[in-house]
Amino acid sequence: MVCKVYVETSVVMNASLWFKVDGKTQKHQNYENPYGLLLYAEQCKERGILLFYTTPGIVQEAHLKLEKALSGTIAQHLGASRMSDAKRRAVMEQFAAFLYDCLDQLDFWFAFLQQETIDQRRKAEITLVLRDEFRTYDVDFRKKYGASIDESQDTGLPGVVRKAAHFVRTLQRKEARKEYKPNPGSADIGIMAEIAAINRGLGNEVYVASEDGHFCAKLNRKLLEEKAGLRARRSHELLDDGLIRSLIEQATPAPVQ
Amino acid sequence: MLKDEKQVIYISNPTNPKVNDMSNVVVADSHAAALIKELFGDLSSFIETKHINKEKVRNYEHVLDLLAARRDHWALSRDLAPIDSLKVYGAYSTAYNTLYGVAKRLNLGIVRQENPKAAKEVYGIVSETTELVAKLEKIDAQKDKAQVPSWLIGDVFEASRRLRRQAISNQLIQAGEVPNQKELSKELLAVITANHA
Repeated sequence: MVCKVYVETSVVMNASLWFKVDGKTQKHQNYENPYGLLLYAEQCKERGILLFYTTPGIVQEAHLKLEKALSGTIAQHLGASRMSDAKRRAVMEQFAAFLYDCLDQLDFWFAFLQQETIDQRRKAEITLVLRDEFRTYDVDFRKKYGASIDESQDTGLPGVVRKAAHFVRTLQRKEARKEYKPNPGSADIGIMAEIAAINRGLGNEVYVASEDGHFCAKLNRKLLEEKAGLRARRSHELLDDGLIRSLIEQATPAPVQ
Repeated sequence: MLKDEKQVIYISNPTNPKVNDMSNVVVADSHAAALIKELFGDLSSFIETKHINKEKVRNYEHVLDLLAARRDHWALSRDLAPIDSLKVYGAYSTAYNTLYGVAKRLNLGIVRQENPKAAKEVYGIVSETTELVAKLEKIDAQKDKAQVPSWLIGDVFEASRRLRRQAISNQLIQAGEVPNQKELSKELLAVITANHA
């Protein structure tokens, strides 16, 4: 049986977001575990061990997400009407440096991950199945939590009460999303389908390393395991119990006597 | 190339007031690719003949002024979507910073009297920069910027990434640190974290 760990967009993104500011490094709040996991990927690549994989969809999504985040933030910054030309130039310089550095870092990590060819027809079939399943789960989720976490019902409340209600609903939503994260995007479903399409019928033990609730919330995991045979795990889960080490040992070819 | 000290200092001064003079852009519009091609030719002949022509030094100065003016023009331009403007800006900035780094390297070569060794070291990079500027010229030549194809912007940006990597590995420019980046990076981290929560 072949073991594989697919490293999803969020892991590579988190491990790529760091900057040097005044000699100090500033990192994504969830940088350490994804970084630790990708160091194993680097080691495996150097030792010729086939364990860590990615897909074209993951690579594309990482670049798109970075650009999307930048687009929104830059439009917000440059939209300020009273910004001086000098300030505008400074903002552009900072954003350009950020874009270059983060893209380079993304490509650095992707270089350690294997890519395989995908049967697009099979991917399309699995996409349809997963989309339907997620829709069913979404409906159930809304039935269960819809009213209690919907902020729109707080409109009309006096200011202080509305703030308190907002705080409570944010907590409720966080808790609810530990159980299930609804509305996965088409890119997320596409990535799930790509991984499932590559491994369908091969009897592989397939893990998906992700920091995204669409993969790792309790019910999302259950759905992925039952319908696509994928075991979604957060980076720290793969690292903490020595799981990644045992997978590397399994993947290591026996030394030649 | 950069022979006497006075010229060397002038060329190496990034705060040259001409940089912010937008009238340069008008002059530059018809010249950018031609000027930088000429510069590349000058570098080639310098390596071959080991002869420094003072007039050629002026050419280098024009190229730097022109790239800085174009870069600043794109910082203020609202013709394209912000992310596309950023990519074009980044490409001009990379071309400028690279050639500025090349100028410093050549100066150092002159001080150490080891030219044209320094010129040979930067030859490949100047060649890449020439290609990048030619591509950028295509974007600037388009009158209606909304018609600039996205593949061209993508192509220019990828070329600038390659050039930047090369320039960093040759220590012509420094990666990373930009002043006042802290707030922006915090904000970006927050946006991306929110997307993955």
